[in-house]
Amino acid sequence: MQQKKLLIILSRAPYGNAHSKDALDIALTAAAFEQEVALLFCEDAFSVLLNSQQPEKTGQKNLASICSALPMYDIETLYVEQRALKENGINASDLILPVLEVDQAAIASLIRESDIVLRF
Amino acid sequence: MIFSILIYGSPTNSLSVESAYRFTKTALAAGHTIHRVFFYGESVYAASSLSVTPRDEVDCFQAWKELAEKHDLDVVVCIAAALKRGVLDPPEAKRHEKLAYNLAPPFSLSGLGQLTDAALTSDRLITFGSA
Amino acid sequence: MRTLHTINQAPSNSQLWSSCLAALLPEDTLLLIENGVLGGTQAHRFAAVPNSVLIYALTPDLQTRGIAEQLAPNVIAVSDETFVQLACEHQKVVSWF
Repeated sequence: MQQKKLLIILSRAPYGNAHSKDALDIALTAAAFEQEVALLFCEDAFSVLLNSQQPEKTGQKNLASICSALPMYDIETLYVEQRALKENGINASDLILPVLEVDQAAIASLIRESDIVLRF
Repeated sequence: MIFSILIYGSPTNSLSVESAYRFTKTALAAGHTIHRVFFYGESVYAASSLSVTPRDEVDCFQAWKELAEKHDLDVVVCIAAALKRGVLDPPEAKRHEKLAYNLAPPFSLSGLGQLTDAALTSDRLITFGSA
Repeated sequence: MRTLHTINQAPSNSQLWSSCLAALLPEDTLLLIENGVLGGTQAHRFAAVPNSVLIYALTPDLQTRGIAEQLAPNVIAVSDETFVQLACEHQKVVSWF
């Protein structure tokens, strides 16, 4: 099967919108079809990966749990915007999975090197 | 060129459905191929036959239906997004014991695998989305 | 590898604009569509964008909003047909929304 490099960018906080889960669903499906999928969490989306979430308190789905399954689908490269982590006082240890922190220049590079980019 | 279109915005609360329509129509007029149009997220409402549009507004359901029928377009509606929003075809309405269905040809329900296929087989995948 | 970026929100959505503009590489092109065309009247918005980046705004969207005559000198109005052409000429399209 043909393979393309897909970059899926999440930019929103996980709750109160369909975007975050919808983006992850695309990533998982593409990975299941053996595509090369990379995920980038920008702006508020770092909060999707916080390991302290208890979304069941307000009847929400746990996106962090979905994310923790990503490596099983061979999606091992998770990028997070460095500036967002810094501004919010978040350390890598607060997140559920190992991530690669990237700056704006690296993000521009990632976009250039991907065949398809979807930003939610 | 072979294009596929991903639509990700409400027909009543965004311009995504309309912008996607204009792009698709223009691409077809220029002789390009549209491999698939994939309705995802809130855009699934655009495929409901039950919407009643005021006479002085554009009926996006009718517009897409006519364009799809004229050009034999593969207009696919994401089944997971559609079901949770109450956009059902006859088999799904029956399966889930709902009162009625509102999705009919040329629209069809399918999964994200169709979007992945569209991404792989098209030269360009263009997204028209909204917050 | 030339990317065509589209942005469809007004510049008051500063986070979106900031992220989009920061991602533009010298060989890329930016197309303002829908409410994004509102940014086309403000030349200063693009001060930090590489000079080689071409900035376009979709004519039907400009006309809808009555601002076709107010475009900044570095922003060019284009038709739907040109949008399709631009999509062909660039390797991919990234939509910012």
